[in-house]
Amino acid sequence: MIRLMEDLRFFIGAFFVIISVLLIGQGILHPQTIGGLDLNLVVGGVFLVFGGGALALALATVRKQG
Amino acid sequence: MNAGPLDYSIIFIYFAFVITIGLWLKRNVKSSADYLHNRSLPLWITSIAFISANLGAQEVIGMAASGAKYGIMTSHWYWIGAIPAMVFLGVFMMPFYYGSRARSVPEYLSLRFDEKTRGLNAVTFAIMTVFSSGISLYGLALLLEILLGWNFSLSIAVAAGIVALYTFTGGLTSAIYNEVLQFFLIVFGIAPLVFIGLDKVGGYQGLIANLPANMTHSWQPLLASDNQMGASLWQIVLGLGFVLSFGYWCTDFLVVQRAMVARNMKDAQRTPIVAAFPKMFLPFIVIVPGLIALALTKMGSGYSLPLKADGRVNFDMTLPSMLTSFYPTGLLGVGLTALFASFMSGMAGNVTAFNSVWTYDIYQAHIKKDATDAHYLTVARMANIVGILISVATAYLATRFNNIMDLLQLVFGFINAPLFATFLLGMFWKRTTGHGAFIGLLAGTLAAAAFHGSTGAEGQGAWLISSGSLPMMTFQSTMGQALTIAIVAWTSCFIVTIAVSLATKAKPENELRGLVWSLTDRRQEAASHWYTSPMILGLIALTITIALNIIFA
Repeated sequence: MIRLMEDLRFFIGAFFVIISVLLIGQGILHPQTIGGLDLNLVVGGVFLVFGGGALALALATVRKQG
Repeated sequence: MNAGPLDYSIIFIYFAFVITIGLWLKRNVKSSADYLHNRSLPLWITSIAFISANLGAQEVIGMAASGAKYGIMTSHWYWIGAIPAMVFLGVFMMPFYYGSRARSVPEYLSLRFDEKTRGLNAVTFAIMTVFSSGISLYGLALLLEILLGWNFSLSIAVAAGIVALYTFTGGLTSAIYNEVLQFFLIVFGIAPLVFIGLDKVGGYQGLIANLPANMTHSWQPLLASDNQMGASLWQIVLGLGFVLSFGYWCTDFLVVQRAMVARNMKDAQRTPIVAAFPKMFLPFIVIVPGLIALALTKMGSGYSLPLKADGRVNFDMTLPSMLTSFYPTGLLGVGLTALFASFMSGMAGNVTAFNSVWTYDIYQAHIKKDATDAHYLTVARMANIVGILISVATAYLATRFNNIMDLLQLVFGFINAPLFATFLLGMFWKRTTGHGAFIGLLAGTLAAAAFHGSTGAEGQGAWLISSGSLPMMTFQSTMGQALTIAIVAWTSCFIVTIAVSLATKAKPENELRGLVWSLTDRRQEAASHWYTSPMILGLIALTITIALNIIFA
């Protein structure tokens, strides 16, 4: 875990995943569409993919380093 | 839309993360080098930090404001006023900054010229950074007071306290790590506004159809004598595209420092060039919202540009007013956090640059030369606190003297404009001397002040002209005047530096190796792939920039 936290991508990933959970939760509980899209769900989804990707890259780097 | 508990939660989670990053990095700080110029960061971090250090509130809020006021012409601050200079820095200047092993831009001046030139640059830079940081803090507190109804002093205490905590503990690396987080937050936090806005105006075609023709082109309005910016073609090309742009991107330690902490020379060179790619597309996020706000106002859509108490349009509030008008709860928290991030990024960048210059170029160079590294680390930490305190004082000063911000910006322009002439001659003409550089810089600054004092624009300037007399020249706008002043300052510095250098004794050539173009071995190790070559990357960046200029001409 400590080695994982040495990687900036861990912090970026964790931040965006946490925010994505809040946005997706808001989108599900209080849907509000603009232009046919619920922006909380869309942006939450983007954050989840981006944050998850950053976390996965950080994890892969740590595992690769053994 | 008022911010709700969810929005505040997002803001506080962001605060918690930036502080955690600072506290976490504290364990790596064991020397002044770790704290002030840790040359170990990978390219992706230095490149994003390079853009983020410049992506402060003035950029995010100011460019949306300019988009609403001047239209697509605002893109000149990117496509001619930034990208060419960033490529030039990476290809031609970074080898000297990084290769000389200087820890700061003023230190390079010391190696190339002498201590007095270094001292002049260090002192003016240190003053400018803490005042800029204070202006950023003032802007943030004012925004929070208007948007969220926060108490002005509380806003200053919270913002300054958080920046102080994460820069004091983790130093430059902490500021840079947070700048990367802040960059993504700013991009992802503001980009949805473009989607919402375009949906409301009927897409890009609807946007163009609802704007006057002069607002939808970048170059065509410059051919008219009375364009909305009040600047001519030559003022934009020479004043902005050459003097101010190269003067800022190639010599300002705040941004150059981000490239100087790369882990090797090649990454240092590639840092500004890789940064140029996202930078050239930022206008679509920061300028387009301003255009949308103007189109929505003209359409009578229910949204209109915010007004000041005297009934004039308050362009500076364009972006914040759009966030609060269009973002739903949740996304509003992300948007407000993005604004927070932009202010804090600007402030932290200034404070860390101030730390380095104060510690290395003023304290170590002129006050205490041979102290232990532990001593300099303590001095750097103290400088961090002092820098924050001066910033706070400047923020309060700005509340009492409203025009102090305009005055500071003006003086900064006088100092920055001639600097590029000094560096250009210093790096590419071995005959340039320390006396020439020092006197040239002073001459450039004095020429700028004298020109401003004898010319007028929009009822300002001409303070050297006695009342009742006419200014030597009257400009259509203060922007046109400022761009001309930059050209005058640069030219004066260039000519005086050459004249004084020819009359004084140059440094021996063996002392200039690695510092001047003609005396530096430029053989580079072959790039492993063509796309990693700084020159090729730079050419690609310039080609795309030319294409963008043509598309939106």
